[in-house]
Amino acid sequence: MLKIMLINDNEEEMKNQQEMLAKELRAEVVCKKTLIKVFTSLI
Amino acid sequence: MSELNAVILCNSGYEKKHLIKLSEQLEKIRTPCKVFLSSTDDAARVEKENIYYIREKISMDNILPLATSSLKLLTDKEVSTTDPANYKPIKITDLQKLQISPCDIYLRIHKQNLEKHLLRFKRNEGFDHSRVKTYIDNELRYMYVKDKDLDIFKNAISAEMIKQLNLSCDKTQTSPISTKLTFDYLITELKDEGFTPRNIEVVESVIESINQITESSKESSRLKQQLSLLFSSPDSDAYIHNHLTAVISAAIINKISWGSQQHIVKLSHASMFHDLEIIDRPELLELREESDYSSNNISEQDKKLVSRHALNSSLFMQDLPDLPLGVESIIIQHHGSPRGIGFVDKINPAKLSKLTLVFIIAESFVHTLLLSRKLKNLSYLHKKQHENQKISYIMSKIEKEYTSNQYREIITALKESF
Repeated sequence: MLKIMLINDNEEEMKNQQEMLAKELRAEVVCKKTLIKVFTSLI
Repeated sequence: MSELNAVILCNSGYEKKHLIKLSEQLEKIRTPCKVFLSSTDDAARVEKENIYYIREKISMDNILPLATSSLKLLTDKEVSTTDPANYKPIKITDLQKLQISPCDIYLRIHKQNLEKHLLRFKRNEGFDHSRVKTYIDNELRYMYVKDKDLDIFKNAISAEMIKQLNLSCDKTQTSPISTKLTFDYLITELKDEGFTPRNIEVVESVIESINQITESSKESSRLKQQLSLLFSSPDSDAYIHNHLTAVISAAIINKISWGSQQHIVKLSHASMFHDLEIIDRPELLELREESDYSSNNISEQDKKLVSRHALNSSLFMQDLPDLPLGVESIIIQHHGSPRGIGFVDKINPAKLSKLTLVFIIAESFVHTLLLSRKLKNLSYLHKKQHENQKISYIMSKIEKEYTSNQYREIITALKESF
């Protein structure tokens, strides 16, 4: 399954985007608020 | 995070150093990962193939088309809604043999309780073999082609195999080319003679569940060793024999008055396990009666091994807690001996279960079919054998060999499958 990391500090906007990406691209969407958190999870 | 495919950055204000660091981090992960972000500041850009810049604020309107095309995805509108029955399975490992896709190839997905098909490889496009490998690594075993394209796909595979075997086709030669017998090739031949496989999905799911044993059972178990050997060679005579026996058994059960899906599950298990004890000895698998011992110069030790293989193959079942009842007895009795030791001169059907009789007829049909197809490969030397290769000839041979009343319904069911 496609895995996408979505970074958005606007929580409400992020939830809508997560739902849309999961629906349209059949992807598993992992959400983070900042790029710093992305780096942490990638390490 | 090794499987990450894309990162979408919706926040603004990224500096070049952030993107360089992100790019470095993503290069360390296993799968190629693409990054999508909004940026109007050209000076802050890092020019990398996997980074896509959007000049406006990220929204689903602009990100979805870009992600869809760059990740080679299809949207719901592009997902085929054609009837799933119009798609035929192909083994994904076959794709590794091809460089160009001979037809459109689809991935089957289940969505809202419906089966849908996603176009993954377009006709005449080169294969992305890393993508095929990813599918295989994720334990995907089948992809799908449209019914009308199945022959095109099989022809492409056959052509590739002939090429690999360095066989050149001289168009002036009238003799047939020796063709490697594969399960797909034989099924196509049977279909040409009117055979309609039934409940094939039940058979395939049982075979798949048995294949899983090779990964889940104890490291050192002999069951795992023997099954691994069987499943590692899907083009071997043994595997084709077992697979076809399961398919023919299912077809018989489908046509028989008392048949049920549970019977197909049992017979599919029996088909894959019945010779497991000697699966590592292909020369012994050919032996079907005691008179074969002398003509094949078989040692005393091997005679004992062959004589007890039905019983010993059934003992592998002890390691399988979820096996349906009755499989063991089919395996024990598959050469006609109620105790699973030795061959019997004349099988007494009254002493055997009905399912065992179905198995005996299915296996006998497959054995004769495979023998005749091997002869067909040599038929340019023996043109008179053409008649013997017809299904009607194989059927009449079985009818002559199995004359008891108990077989009548089973043989009729087999004939009705064509």
